[in-house]
Amino acid sequence: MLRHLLPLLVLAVSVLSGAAHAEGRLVIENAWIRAAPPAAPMRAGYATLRNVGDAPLLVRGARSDAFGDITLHATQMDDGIARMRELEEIKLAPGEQAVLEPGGKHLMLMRPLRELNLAETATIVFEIGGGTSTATADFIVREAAEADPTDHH
Amino acid sequence: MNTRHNSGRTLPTALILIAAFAAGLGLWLLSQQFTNREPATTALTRYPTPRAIATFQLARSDTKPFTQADLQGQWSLVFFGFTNCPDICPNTLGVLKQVRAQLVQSGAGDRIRVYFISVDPQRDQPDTLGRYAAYYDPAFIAATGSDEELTRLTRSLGVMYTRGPASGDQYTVDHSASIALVDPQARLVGLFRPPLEAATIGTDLLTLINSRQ
Repeated sequence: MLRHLLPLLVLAVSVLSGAAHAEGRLVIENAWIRAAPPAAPMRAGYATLRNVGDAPLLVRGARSDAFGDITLHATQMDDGIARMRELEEIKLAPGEQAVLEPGGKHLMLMRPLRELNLAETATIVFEIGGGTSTATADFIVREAAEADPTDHH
Repeated sequence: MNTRHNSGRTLPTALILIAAFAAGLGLWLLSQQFTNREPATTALTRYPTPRAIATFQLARSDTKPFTQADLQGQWSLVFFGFTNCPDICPNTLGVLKQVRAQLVQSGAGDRIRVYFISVDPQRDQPDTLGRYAAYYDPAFIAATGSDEELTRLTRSLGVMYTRGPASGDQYTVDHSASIALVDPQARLVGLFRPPLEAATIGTDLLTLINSRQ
């Protein structure tokens, strides 16, 4: 069921196409932003990043007109202590995927520039490789990851 | 003479047997009582005996003081975090929201209080902090205070926090992801440690609450 829905969530993917040479191609699926209090100065974005190309690719960063700044982060749990650390990049081999999920890797969405309520979306552009190519996806605001029964009362 | 002597020995033997049986029964009853007093919990990492909590003075988001005395009289769940924490804190507050909903549904809503304590007093102004916590549940109590007071409380509750390296005005705060459970005598009973599951935490709390009517 979920698998059939995933392609629908891929809203846009654009890559510099060289055609002649092998290259990575980023597909962004199941993209969502956690619902947060209006007072929240920072949000978290989650998605599955998949390299469907035939060469490795590097996700270097992301930007959006909905946020002042976006960084790649990972939450690490060391003996019950939650630590957040910035990631330089996410490297994906051909066919490899990285799951950005609660308690793990995530996008840190800093300084929201507008209110983002439940079911609203923000477009996020991922910078790939040297910044020459990008991939774009619309992130939808949700209470929790999809298929979580606590989503509804 | 011999017969008398023997019957004189029979009585103490019987008494010893009765005394031993009584002692055994007493021990069994005690162990039963002990079991009843410490009911089975599944999610809680419990201390062998509840620990007293140091005195502390924090300020609630509605400017009222929050001290050790406020922990008396009902159970308390205490979670430490900060509003610039986009991943772990919203997750935990979401879990606490579900836990409280379960308790309210079971008629135990007034037996427990939920505290969200900011370990980032520089950035978390009372007003922002209060609105942040109330988004999850208006009954949540948000508070913060000086590092000195925060450290007294975190140490007392078996958790910790430390500020990470800063780049410009950006810094993060590393903090325990556990939720502390305090009993109505203001003693630390144990910690709910991640991964946090609302349903099992709620069940544990109902078990503990109902065991101390």
